[in-house]
Amino acid sequence: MAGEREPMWRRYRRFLRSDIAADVDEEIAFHLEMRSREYQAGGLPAEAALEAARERFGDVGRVAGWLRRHDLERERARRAGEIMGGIRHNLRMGVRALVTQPTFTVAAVLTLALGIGATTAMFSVVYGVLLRPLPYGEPDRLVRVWTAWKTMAGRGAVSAANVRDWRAQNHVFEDVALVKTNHSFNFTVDGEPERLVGARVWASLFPILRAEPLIGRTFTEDANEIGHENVVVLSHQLWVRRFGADPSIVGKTVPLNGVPTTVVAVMKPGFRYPDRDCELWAPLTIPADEYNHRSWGSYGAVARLKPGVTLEQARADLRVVSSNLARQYKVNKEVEAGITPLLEDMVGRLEQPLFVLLGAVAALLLIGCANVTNLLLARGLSRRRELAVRTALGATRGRLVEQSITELVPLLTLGAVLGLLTAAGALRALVPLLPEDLPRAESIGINLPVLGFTMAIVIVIALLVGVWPAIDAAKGGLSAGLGELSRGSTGAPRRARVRDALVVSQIAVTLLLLVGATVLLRSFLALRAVTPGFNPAQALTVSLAIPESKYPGDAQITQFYTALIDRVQALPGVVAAGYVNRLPLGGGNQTAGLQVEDAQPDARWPNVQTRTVSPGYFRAIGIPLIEGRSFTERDGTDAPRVAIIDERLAQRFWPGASPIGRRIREGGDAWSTIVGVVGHIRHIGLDDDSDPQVYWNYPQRTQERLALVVRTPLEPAALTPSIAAAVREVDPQQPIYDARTLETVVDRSLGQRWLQTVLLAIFAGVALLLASVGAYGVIAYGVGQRTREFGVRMALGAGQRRVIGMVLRRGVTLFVLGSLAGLALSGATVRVLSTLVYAVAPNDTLSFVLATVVLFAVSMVACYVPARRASRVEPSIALRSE
Amino acid sequence: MAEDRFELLQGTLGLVVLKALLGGELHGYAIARWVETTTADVLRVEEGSLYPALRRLEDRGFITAQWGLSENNRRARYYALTAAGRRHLKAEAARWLEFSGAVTQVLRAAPSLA
Repeated sequence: MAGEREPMWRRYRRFLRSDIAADVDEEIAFHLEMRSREYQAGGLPAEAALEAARERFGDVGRVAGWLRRHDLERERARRAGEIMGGIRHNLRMGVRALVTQPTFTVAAVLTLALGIGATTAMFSVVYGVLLRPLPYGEPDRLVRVWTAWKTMAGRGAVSAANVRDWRAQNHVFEDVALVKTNHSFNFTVDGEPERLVGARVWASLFPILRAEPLIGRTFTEDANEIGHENVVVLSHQLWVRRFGADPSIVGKTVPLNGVPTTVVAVMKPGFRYPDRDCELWAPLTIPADEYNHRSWGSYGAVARLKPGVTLEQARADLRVVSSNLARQYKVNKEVEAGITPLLEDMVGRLEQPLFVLLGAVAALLLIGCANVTNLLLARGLSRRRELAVRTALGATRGRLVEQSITELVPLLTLGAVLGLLTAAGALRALVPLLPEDLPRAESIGINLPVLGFTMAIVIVIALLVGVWPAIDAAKGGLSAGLGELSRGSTGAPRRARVRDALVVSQIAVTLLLLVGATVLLRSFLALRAVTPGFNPAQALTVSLAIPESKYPGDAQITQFYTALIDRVQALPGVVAAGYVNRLPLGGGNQTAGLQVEDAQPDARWPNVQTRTVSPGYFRAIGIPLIEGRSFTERDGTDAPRVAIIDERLAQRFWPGASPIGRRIREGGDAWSTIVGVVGHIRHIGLDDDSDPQVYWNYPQRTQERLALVVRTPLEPAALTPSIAAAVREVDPQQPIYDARTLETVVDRSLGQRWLQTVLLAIFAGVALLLASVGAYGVIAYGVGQRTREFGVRMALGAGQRRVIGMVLRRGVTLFVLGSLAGLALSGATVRVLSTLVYAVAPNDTLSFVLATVVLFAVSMVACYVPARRASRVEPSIALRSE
Repeated sequence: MAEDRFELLQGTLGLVVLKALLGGELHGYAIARWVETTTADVLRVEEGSLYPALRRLEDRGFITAQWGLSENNRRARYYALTAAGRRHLKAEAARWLEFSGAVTQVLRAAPSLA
């Protein structure tokens, strides 16, 4: 039996991985064989001896089974321990590398922290604004309901009559609520008036949003009936701020708009609708006669789809409902009910700018990764021998990649932690700077999904920067590794190519960011240069909203505003003062179809911006009077109705003739005679020059809400206290709000554009810095490698200029390759900026040229520094240096 | 095969194995044989429990195992005593002797059985 050799394949298998079951069998077999030999020696025949040996042993199968299980378990534990030990070892190596190479560590960690921080911060904005579900129960079923005018694009406001009928006739909504948001409430506690922003809503809103109050009960359907509307639901914030979180507030009466109003509920802390500014909700009552004006309405509407109903099904049902109504009412022929998911309605317009910025920041991260990879490749040189030896000893490429990634873990962990801190800091600094009209800014933060995102990008970075150097090192193998260690070698050309490729791609991506930033910057400057048509300098504005409960009729409203304007005009430093019901560029909009007397009967009514103003308004805001006169005190309630139009409307209807004396009206109103023509201004935004404008005089078309505009040669903001005092003299309970200079109003209207331009410019700047550091590193390394060569050349008579030229030539080659790729990349992608730019095409040639020039200048500086060093080499030292 | 043999008491198998290895490394069969020879076939090792007992001693770090070639040129698993095993054997042997001495003393005490 001694001659029996185990088969080769089993030996081989054992060499790779000990064969546990076979070992157990072999051990027992050996035992039985020895015992049976003993018995055979005692005289038993072979078969009987083996039988006796087995009997002596006991239950062979059971014992063998136990041993196998035991040994397998032990082997598994051993392997696990070995793997953990390996990981621990690699981590230790990683930490040691960080400590022993502080320059490398600082450079790599800072780059990673910057990239991870910027990406995380930007993603948390994207997540908070665009992706995070709305804070209501089952938010996916919430839709905004709007009026789709067949003659006009966009989502129109809804009328009470239409919503009432849509609500009654549809089969797809669980319920619908009519809302009037951004409603002003005047609220006085202890003689101190405050203007609160609230909403008037149908009672159905709360069940639709699945909103339960913290205390009390939200109002019932009958609160929407006239006579029952003096109830209010408070936001948690208002309850804490103005009522000291009084737990017995429900049932108490508070003075709202001068009317005793019963508090019926306080909402939970997280509840917001429609946004964070809204602090209270009161019932929305509709006077019976309003239901006769089917096309008139300035409301919003929210609905919840029934479970399982898709948007398409809902739209189909609403088409049927709309066409039924169109048969019934003539005015409904132009109208359909439209729906949009509520979240999309709130933030849809932000998708493009935010994703562009996220893309920019991701590009920045890639540029940073290229730098870290470059650093690792450079560091990898010093570890060539170790890796080469490991490869020679049979470490597989996978094993080396694993080792290289494990060693990166301490570096990445540091980078990620610093990055998260950077992101938190950036958000703290950034969020207050966000434009006020940015929805859902309050839901931006570092939360679990954001952390998950950060984790994911860290893993991607680990793969990007860990795999390449490891594969690179493993590929070289023993010969290259040891060969390169020999003195005086100029380094593997292939490795240099990898690093060059990294620099070329950095330059390409940086150019893309620079082009994008330049296009936005030029667009922003073009917008800043736009003259709005009025004069924002040296003017202050203050807003007022007077409650209808206290000033129920037009006469009282006019009386209040006239009394106030008389006082304000008398204030020292006031040159001119006037009112307008919606401030230009202030975010408010009001349009109407305008009917012109004697126009062709079938002519389409032009859509115009209409505003109610006081006589002094044009002088106060600086809109020039072109023809005729402004309003005067004589154009009162009983005087003939008058109107002022802008030059654009005059041009359109009476080209070459005077419009003075002609008559116009909004549909259904009495005719008004045109008495003057003023300059055209930009009302909606500096970038929106759409509609002509019509002005009515304030006693003839009263408004509860007016913005006061005051012109002064003094510092405008300094006038605020005296204006507040003047308001208090007229009505001590009347608050003012939004006191700002007119210049601030203009600037704020550019808020979002300003922010996206500044952010993209910052990203491009950082990218430029990182890319030039990358280029510098590669060129400097190349110079270091060629010190000896330069020494020889200079010894042979090459001048400094010549050496500088040689180094720069390499930089220029990299730059040319990179910028060609970058220009192609930009040309292919700048189209994403199309909705973000004004008066500049996204593929604006000048921007491409400017960006390329800037990048060229900076890269040449980055290359010149090492080039100069090369030219200063002392030939004798250089020749001796290696 | 005599009839009057004793099974090892619970817990003493390990002690006996360690003692067997005190003289140098042995494979499983040799351990069994050593016990039989030393006690003139009075103590009998239950072979079915010998190998699990060896594994347990290995797990506790008292012995190590290694594949080697047997006297007849076969692959066999050899067990060897570790330093810890040696210490353990010393302590346990002392305890056992004290215990068995005490039991003997009790059994010999008056009134005598014989």
